[in-house]
Amino acid sequence: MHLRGSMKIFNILILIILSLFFCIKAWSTEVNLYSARKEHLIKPLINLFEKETGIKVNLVTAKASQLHERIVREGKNSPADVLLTSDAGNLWKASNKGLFQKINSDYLTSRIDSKYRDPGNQWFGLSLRARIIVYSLDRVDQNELKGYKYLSNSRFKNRILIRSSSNIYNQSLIAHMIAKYGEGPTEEWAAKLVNNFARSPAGGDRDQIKAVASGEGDIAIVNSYYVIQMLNNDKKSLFDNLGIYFPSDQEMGVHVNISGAGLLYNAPNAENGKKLINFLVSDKAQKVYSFNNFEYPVVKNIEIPKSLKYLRNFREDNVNTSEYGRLSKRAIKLADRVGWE
Amino acid sequence: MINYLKHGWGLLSVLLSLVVIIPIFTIIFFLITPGNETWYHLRENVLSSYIINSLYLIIFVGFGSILIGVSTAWLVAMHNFPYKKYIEWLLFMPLAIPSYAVAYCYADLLGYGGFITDNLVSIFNSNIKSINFYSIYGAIFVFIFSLYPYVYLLMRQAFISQSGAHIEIAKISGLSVLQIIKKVSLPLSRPALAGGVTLVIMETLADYGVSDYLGINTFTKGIYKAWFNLGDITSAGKLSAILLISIAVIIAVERKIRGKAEYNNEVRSNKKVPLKKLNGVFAMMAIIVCVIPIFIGFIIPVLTLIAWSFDSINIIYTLEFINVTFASFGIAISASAICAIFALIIVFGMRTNYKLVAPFARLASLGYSIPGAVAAVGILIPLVWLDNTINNISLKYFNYSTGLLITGTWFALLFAYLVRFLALSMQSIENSFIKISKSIDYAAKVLGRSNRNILTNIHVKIGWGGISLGLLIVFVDVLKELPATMILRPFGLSTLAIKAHELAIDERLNDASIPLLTIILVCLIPLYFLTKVIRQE
Repeated sequence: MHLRGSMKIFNILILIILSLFFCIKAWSTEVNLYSARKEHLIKPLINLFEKETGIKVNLVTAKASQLHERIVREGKNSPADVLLTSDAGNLWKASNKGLFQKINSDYLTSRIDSKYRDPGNQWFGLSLRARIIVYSLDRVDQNELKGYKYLSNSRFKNRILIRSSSNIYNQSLIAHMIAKYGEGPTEEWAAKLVNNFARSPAGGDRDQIKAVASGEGDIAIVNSYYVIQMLNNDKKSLFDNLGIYFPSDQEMGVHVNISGAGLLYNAPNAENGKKLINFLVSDKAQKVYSFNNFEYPVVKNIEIPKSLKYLRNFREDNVNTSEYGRLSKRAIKLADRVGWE
Repeated sequence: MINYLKHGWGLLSVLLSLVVIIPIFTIIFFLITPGNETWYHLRENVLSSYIINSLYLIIFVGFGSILIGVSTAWLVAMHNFPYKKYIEWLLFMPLAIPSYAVAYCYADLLGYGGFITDNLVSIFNSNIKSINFYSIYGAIFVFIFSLYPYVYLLMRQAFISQSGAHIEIAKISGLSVLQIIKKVSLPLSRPALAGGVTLVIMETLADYGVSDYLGINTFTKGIYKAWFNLGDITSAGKLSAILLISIAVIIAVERKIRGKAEYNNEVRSNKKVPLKKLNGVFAMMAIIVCVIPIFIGFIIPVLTLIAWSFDSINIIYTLEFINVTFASFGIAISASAICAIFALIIVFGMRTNYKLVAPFARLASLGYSIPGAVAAVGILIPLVWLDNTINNISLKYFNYSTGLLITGTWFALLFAYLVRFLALSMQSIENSFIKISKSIDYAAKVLGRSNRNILTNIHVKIGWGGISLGLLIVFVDVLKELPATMILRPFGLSTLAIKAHELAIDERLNDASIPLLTIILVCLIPLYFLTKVIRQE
């Protein structure tokens, strides 16, 4: 009897809570975005989208793997519609965990080159960045530079600067090398490369560029947009003696990585999610990527700023970016084995 | 009801502790899940070097923060010298800057084109273009100067509330100043010292930002490597559980060694320690000793941040800055209040029934040593379970899906802060309650006061200094907190710490300086009130 009474109170309580949440749920023209890209990078695009469509974007940002975990734990009740991340490896991991659903869209497949999207159309690249070389004009002859592979040559001993292998950009580069040359040769290459390091890896990409300028090393391997951000910096004079080179040789072109997005499997607002992804490859949005963030647009023939144009001439490699994710675990373990900190 | 509470006080404390212990146990459960190939890979290739680095770090950071924290606390608490009024509070300020920001500042100052290196070049005509800060020594330096305030604050509190009688007796017995410190003041404040150092060590171990930026492979970096890079949350959980258990063992051992000694102030005369006035050379020396850590830990980083901020002052308009500041302030205030209430009840419960409550209380304070992101997962798992249970009940009875009610709300976030930072409140409250003689409790009981009455009318009033100290420390830590906030926050909520981190990780330090400076400014608000509280005492 007593138990029944308390059950009743419990039921009433639940009813009240439910009706409260019903009011909240009634809000429908919205889309929930989990983004591993930082808010200041993505906010201009969101504002444009909201203005154009009237759909409200709810945003949460965190590291890609943290968002993966949140989505997995939230399970079938997850409110997330779209996941946005900044490396092909992270996109592959999400689709491998079954977080994404396929989008059938001729618009997306026609605008995005097949090597920059998932073969099963679960995720799509939105912007591009290249992993390039910044070198000292005083101490390096440009003829010395060839592809990534040549950086293991002993002539570069104590001259190479690169950040830690715990950074996903390096993991994707190593994974790319594995896809190109196989694991054995890549391990040999990485071991020799570590031998050529000017110092043990630390700091971010900009710190590697600074280290070239200060003479700690001669050659830094960094992402393209950091270089452009630094060139736009007012302390420019410090970096006068630096040259830029896009590594490629007969076998392998420049390592290009993407930022991209996918529609989540349990997306409660799937239609709005698709609209958001479509919007991100529109001409307008693509321009924001290149003018605000200094990334290359994934869609061909989009207007780009002068600084990018000056850097544009390079030969991209033909490996599908999904390989970066598929091989990333092997890449990380390989780096541990050769002592790339 | 009151009668029930009289006996149930201990039970209530246990109950509240249990709420906090659930996520901690969730992490420990990872330990019994079977290991996979990632686990073996880590163990074989990298784990031992990670452990050695972490040990180095905590040993040096521990001793360094004792040296600075105890000496400054002793000078400030026992002496009078010029400018002490300001120094006393400036010594706290390094806590207001996230340690990773201190690392960024010094790496920049000492790096190529940095202020220090530039001036070295021009003054000494030297050839050094940069000084390598990216090393374990850099990390030790950063941690010591940004974390010593934990030791300083707790020790200052302990020195101040020491009875003057002890010291007088020691003086009469002919002990020198150093002997008094060694034989009387320090042993009497041992709980505070142990508490402060424990906080420093736990924070050092749970750090990711500093060691990641400076390229030091620490144990916590191993945890995040397993998760973020190898996508293996199980190994990350296992490593966190190991970390947790080792810290629990260290704490238990310290308490065992301390033995059964009670640290209640049983000496009758509640005479304050007379402040010794320092003049001339001694005053100068005291000021120098106190100003060095203030300079390194606070003034230099702040000046660097201000210099950076000139280039990017207009970012204020793009960050919805006011909203973010208010949101940060709001969650910090509410989290510190919740932590204080939980800590008060639990600590008081320990007083009424030590044997029953203590083990739960100790477990509940371990949350501070779990790296934030892992703690967030430990919180996410039971919360989602609860949400799903509610969802299923609602589906069964009302045929309506509630979705996730708690996960992704403020409630979840506040719960996370409670789990992470309860130790901070408990440490400072316990410290101030220790000084209240048990005979006061007995006397009040004889006079027919209820336990609740004793707590609100006696302990809260006498221990108000410690309680507000706890409020302040939790406030500051929540303002700086990053990973748990990022993972658990509701849509649309952003904090100053998140803004600063996102800009800094994108290598836009100039822009990051604005939210970082705002964090410091916001910290001044509770600090101002705390100084008032303590002056009144």
